[in-house]
Amino acid sequence: MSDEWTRLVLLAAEITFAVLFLRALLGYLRGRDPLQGDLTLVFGPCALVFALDLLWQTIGDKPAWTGALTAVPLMAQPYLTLRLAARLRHVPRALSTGTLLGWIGLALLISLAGRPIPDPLIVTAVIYFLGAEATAAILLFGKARTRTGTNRARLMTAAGATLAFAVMIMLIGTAALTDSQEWRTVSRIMALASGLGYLIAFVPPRRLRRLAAAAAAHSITERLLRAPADSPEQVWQTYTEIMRVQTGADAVAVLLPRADGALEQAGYAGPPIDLPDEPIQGDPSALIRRGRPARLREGGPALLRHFGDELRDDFVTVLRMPVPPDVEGWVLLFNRFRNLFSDDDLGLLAELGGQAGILAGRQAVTVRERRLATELSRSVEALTRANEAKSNFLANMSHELRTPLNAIIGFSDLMRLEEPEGDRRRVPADWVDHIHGSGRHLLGLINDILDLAKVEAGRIDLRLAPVRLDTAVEELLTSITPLFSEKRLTVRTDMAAVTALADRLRLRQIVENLLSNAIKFTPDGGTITITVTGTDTDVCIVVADTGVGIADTDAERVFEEFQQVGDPDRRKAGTGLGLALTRRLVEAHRGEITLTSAPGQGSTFAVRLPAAPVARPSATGAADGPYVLLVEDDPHSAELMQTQLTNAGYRVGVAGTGESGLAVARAHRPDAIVLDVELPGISGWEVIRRLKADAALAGVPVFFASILDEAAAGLALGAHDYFIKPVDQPALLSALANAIAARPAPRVLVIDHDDAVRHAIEDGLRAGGAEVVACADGRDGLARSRAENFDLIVCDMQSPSEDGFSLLAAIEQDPSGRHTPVLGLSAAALAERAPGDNAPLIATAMAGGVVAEAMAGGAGWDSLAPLLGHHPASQHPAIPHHPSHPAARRTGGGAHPPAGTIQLRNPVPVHAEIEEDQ
Amino acid sequence: MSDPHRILLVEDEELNRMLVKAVLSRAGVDAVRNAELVDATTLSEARENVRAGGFDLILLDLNLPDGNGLTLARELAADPAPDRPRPVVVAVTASVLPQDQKAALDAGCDDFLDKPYAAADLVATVARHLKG
Repeated sequence: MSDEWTRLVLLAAEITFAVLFLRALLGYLRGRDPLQGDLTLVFGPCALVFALDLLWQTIGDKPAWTGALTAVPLMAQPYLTLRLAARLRHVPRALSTGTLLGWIGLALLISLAGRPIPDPLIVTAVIYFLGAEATAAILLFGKARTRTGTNRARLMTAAGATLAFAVMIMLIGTAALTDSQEWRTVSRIMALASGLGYLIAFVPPRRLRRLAAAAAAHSITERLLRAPADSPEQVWQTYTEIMRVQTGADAVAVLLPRADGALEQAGYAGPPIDLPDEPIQGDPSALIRRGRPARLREGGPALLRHFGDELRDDFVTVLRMPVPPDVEGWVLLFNRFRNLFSDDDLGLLAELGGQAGILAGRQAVTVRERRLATELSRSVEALTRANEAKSNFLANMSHELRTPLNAIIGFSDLMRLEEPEGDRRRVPADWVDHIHGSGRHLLGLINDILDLAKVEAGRIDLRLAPVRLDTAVEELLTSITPLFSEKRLTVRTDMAAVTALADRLRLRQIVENLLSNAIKFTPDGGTITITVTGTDTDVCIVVADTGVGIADTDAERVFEEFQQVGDPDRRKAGTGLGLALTRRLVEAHRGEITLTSAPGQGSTFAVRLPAAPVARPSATGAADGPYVLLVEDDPHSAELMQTQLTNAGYRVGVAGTGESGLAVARAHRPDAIVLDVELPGISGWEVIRRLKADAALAGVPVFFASILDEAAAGLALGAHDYFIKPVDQPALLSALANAIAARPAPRVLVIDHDDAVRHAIEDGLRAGGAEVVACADGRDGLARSRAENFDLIVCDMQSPSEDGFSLLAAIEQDPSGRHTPVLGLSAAALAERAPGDNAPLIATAMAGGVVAEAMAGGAGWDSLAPLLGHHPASQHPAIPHHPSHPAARRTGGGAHPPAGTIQLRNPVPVHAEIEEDQ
Repeated sequence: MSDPHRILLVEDEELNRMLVKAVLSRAGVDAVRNAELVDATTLSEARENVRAGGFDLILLDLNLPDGNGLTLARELAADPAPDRPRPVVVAVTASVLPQDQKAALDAGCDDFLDKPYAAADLVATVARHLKG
């Protein structure tokens, strides 16, 4: 190669380094980026050598001292390269310091040494240079290996260029030592290679950069499209991970704005750190620095809080990420050391985030569509099932109703066709029974449907009272024994004495449904186990069978209307209403029904119901407690129960026979009656029959307490509850308390123009526990009677504005007041009353046709109260002599409930004499 | 007087069997009144009776404890070489939807009687098929 050529190569290399220097210098001046500053310094010595070279060529003369002038700055190159490497990765401090000291030492030696420079010094300098540059190259290479993509390529190139530079110096040294022109030529080629390498690594031409960015973009797009993306979240995460690979950043986070303006992290890729799952209130744009990246700690507390202290000193490159149509998200690149990517290139990659956004959006639509489709098919399935269930129900119902109807119609048809025998028809007795039985069956079905409809419409009326659960179950078991024996089923019971707060009939229905269900689905010879347990607040009845069982998937459906689950061929006759109704009833009691079962393992139904509250003895003592009448012939029992009741705060009256009990009840109208069945004279059955026949006492709750277990009979006769001796005292007290508390205070409307009389009546009624509305004027009274509901109206028969009888007639005309009993007061008797005078007061209970003398026996005005409860209506037809009078019509009609149904809390004994109102 | 007709009554409800007997035994048509009535309460029992043969008419309930009565009707219809006349099959059921009727006739039943039926309807149906 001619000298001319080698000069040209050297010139090219020098120009390259000069260009590198100028570009780095410009970049540094523009952004004051320390990385650019270090880069400028690295190329500085070469640029200086180039400048001097040019200068000497222009002057044409090269002074001898220039050797040192170019050598000394050139020797600084390894140290400066190490500095640059320290921007890009970790470099041990000792290494940098050692290299710096080596340069200073060599620079001094070269400056002081004579010319030409002695060979040993040249050798030392070359070895130093070679070692330091090789170290820098290895460091860059090491860094490159941890990176990926363009970043890796550029770091590799930088390492190669550094190595080439070292080789170049070595060759120059060798050329100087051997004075070989060839080595010099090769060294110049190496210089050019090194320069080009640096150019590509640190200030690549725009074209190259675009090429690299386009390759990265292509790779990102391809990977995004290929990555599995089941959800928008996954798309963003994939993009984040690809960005990390492509940029070679330590960590990448993608932030997207939420509707409220705060940012949420859509993706993160990098070393695991604790990232709070909260929106970020910060603004990443604060971290955008022209030309050089910022550190995270400069970005405000919100970002620091989110990414944590570990990343606080990291360089963070913030890139805007436009997501179509109009969202702007952010890509954050975290680097402990500087990254060679320029912001422009990164910007292009960030813009690919928009693609991820489109993909994510599309994915969101797909996911939503998929969900909608699932929901749709699910609801179609549910609708189809509901429709099917309805059709099945109708078919079933029709079938089930027709079967008993067939017997009803068939047999009655036969009865109709039966030839008469004289004037009588011959009808076999069992035909009638069949009709009766089938009719009952039909009725049962219809009732189930009606009940269900009622519960569904929330119209079911529960009469809640304490009910002994174990007794109720026992009763029921007795009545359905034939069903068990028919299938040879074994019944096991384990029942605690617990009291539920329930409607007795509905409770029976619930248990009956569970039992008949168990019987229906348990094969012959199986076992049904009934367990009753309770706590202070809940009672629980569990019915377990050894039947076919129910699959988990069907467990909920057994409670749905018209559903019969399991193998269609093995379904049992029935409407599929029983369990649905049972659940509705249990829920109406604020209870809960659950099923545990598995096919072939039998089923266990558990019903939880609220327990009856336990009565607490009243603190006020017996003086004004409710009055309980105890009808009991055995003095020991009577004494025991009296003590218990008295301790519980009741006033107790004791009667030894049924007859005396009835008499006391009529005289005092107790709040409740505790009745024995076996009594001398008339039995307890007869006593309750007479009590219930007596309108005044029919409303008094009666509790049986007997040795006999005849609860069904007792309840059938109208008893409130039935207790078997020895009586469960808490249950009885609880039942009493509930029965008495359940009765509302009666509301009484008093119409009387005489203030004194009206107040006196009011006081008396209030003392008796009634709620009183008083009116002085008949018209007001009439208006009130129409606007509100009253249990009784007491009115003066001759008020000034309205004649009592016309008032009565007006009340009768009014549909809402028609059923309210009216007690008329004789004004004449009242008017004649002198203060302190106990002259008879004539009171007329118009509704029942009673004329009673309330003031008899000097009981005072208070005696009005018991009058309301004392009402022998049937024995005393009243005002029969005014057949044309509205009041008289009322007496005869019997359409009005007797005044005696009104219940007062504190009955006071009174002996009313009866007179006719003449 | 010829031999009495034989009727197979396939019905699981005792009450309904009693009813059919009561109605038929009081029928004004001699052939009906004098017919011999044989009970079957399940599908398998009915099948045995049919195999034993000799029936002129089958009154067939469809809802039987061990299967659908139509199975029996199909078996009879499929009987390839009867060495005896095939009995007339009348489906008697409370399933009265049009598709139920169609299913019965498709299965080879000759006639169909809805439950509940009037006594006269039952007699008329039986008499109609016993005549021939």
